[in-house]
Amino acid sequence: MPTSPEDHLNIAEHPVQDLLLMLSALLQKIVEANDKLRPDHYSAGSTGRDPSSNGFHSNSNHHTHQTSKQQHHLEQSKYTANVLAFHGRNIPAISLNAYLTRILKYCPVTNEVFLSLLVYFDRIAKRANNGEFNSTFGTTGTGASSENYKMDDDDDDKMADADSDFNDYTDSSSGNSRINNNNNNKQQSFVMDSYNIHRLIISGITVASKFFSDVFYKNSRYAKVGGLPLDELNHLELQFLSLLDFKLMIQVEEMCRYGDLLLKFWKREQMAENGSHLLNHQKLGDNSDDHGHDDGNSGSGHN
Amino acid sequence: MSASSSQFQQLEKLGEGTYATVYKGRNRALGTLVALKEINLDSEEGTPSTAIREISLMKELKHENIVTLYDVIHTENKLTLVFEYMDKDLKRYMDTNGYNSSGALESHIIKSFMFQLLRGIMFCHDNRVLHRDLKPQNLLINSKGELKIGDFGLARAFGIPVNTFSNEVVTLWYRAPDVLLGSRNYSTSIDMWSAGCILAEMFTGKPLFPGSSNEDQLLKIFRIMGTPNERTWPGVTNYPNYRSNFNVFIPQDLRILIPSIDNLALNLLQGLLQMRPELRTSARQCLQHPWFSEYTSGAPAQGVYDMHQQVQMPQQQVPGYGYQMQ
Repeated sequence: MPTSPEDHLNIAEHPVQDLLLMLSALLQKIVEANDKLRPDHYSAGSTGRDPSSNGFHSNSNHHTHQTSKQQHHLEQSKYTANVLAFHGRNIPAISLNAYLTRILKYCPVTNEVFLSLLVYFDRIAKRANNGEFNSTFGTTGTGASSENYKMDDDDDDKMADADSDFNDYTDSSSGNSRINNNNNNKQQSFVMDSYNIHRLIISGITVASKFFSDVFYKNSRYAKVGGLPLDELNHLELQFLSLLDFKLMIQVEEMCRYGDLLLKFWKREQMAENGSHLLNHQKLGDNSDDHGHDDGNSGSGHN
Repeated sequence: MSASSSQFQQLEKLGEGTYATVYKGRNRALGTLVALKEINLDSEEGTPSTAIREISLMKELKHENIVTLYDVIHTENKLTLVFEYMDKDLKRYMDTNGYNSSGALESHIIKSFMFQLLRGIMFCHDNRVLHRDLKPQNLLINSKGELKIGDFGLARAFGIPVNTFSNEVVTLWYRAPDVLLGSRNYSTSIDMWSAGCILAEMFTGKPLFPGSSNEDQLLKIFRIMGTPNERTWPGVTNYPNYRSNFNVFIPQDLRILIPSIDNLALNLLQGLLQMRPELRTSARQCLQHPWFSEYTSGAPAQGVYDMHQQVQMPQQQVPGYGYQMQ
């Protein structure tokens, strides 16, 4: 692990608006990759609100007496229903950065609530896309690894090595192909894309604010800010909690790791951007050099 | 009614809280008793933060001195938390088992309960969770004499160095003076003050500081512990609720207020009821106290009051951007 201070995100002091910029860039990158890989998604036309998703049983090994196969099937279909609840019919017009900025403006929270979104999305992806919960929807994940993370496994150590997954997001040059290679033959039930990312964000913010902060709002406010009906948000909040199996604790170390990875992603993006700017600039420079002899008239295209 | 909640036969009501009703229940298949905490979901509010915290924290905190959360059953308008069944809370235990119906417990029972309470607290703190509402009503006792901490609705994780902390935490009588003075960057010491109040209450059967308002609560504490000043508590005048015209009291001898307490227990109590949060004994230090030497076989009686270990405080506090929307 690099140890120089500029490799670490200072969660306490980093400007929130700047963190949102990084966060929205990363999320945008992920959903774009997933959108591209699945151009035909939602032809099945499901838009959540599946009444069968109403009852669920978390961590149900204690009291149920179904066979594990039945149990598994049940969990699987409920899980799929939970995920589907977030899919909208249309792609919301508001950009992710504008959406997050709106949330920050009307429901102000601190960095760790925003950062926790990444941790939670990653946890959900791992639980959903471990191969046990294949669904008929989706072909790619958010970068789920091949490790066997079990649905009812209480061992949180399994969550510990999120880096590798996260690197799938952050590796802009090879991310897409790696996701593709990993999951070519595997159907994934949790896929973040342009159709569900907004609902995932507002649900995650609602849940994380109530968990992390002593300052939070009623769902009626989160719904207004998030731009969805109150009863839909109430429903999604419960779906989000159940996708996480209600496990919201994030150890400081884990939070810091995600912060550092986000920063690393951002730096790489900027470097790439600067690189292309530089290239463009050079090209322009070349051009202007070519026409350099026009003296005072150079650059004026008025004629 | 979901399929899973029909697994339990609902028996008599055990209690009613601000956001939940607790019933005794029986697992139909196994015949075992459970406590069913039913939380109605309000449409405006959504899932209460108390429920979100209680479930997610208790899923992580598995310890013999913390009530076990077996299961969560949810439907669209109700959450049911399935807990292990405990016979009564410490308040009721004191009411029914205290000698001469005074509520006061015998010394060896107090010691056992206190030891278990401290072990539960230490486990929470080691896992970076503040309970923030320790009081006899939230400590549950079973027929085996086991004590377990329950009700994590006000609890929260700490350690992530951002965040605002509310000072509207802990039932007034068990609330630490620094919190009453308006501190928002308290840490584990907030629970240790409550533990001290509970220890004293087990000896006398009566709450040590039964205040009726924030102001009255501070005065009740000052009357016994002495009114703090810059000399006894450097920095105390900087707290938001500090007032220069507080009535000035000198510290009382706790032994007079709690005649049945023995010297070692008194010594432990004094460590817990330190006005300055950074001087308050930690759960780990308490467990090494010689009062508990019979439980900690062969543990040395020295080095108990090692105050070098400073309480971890959150480093950065973001000033109030907010308020709870009505």
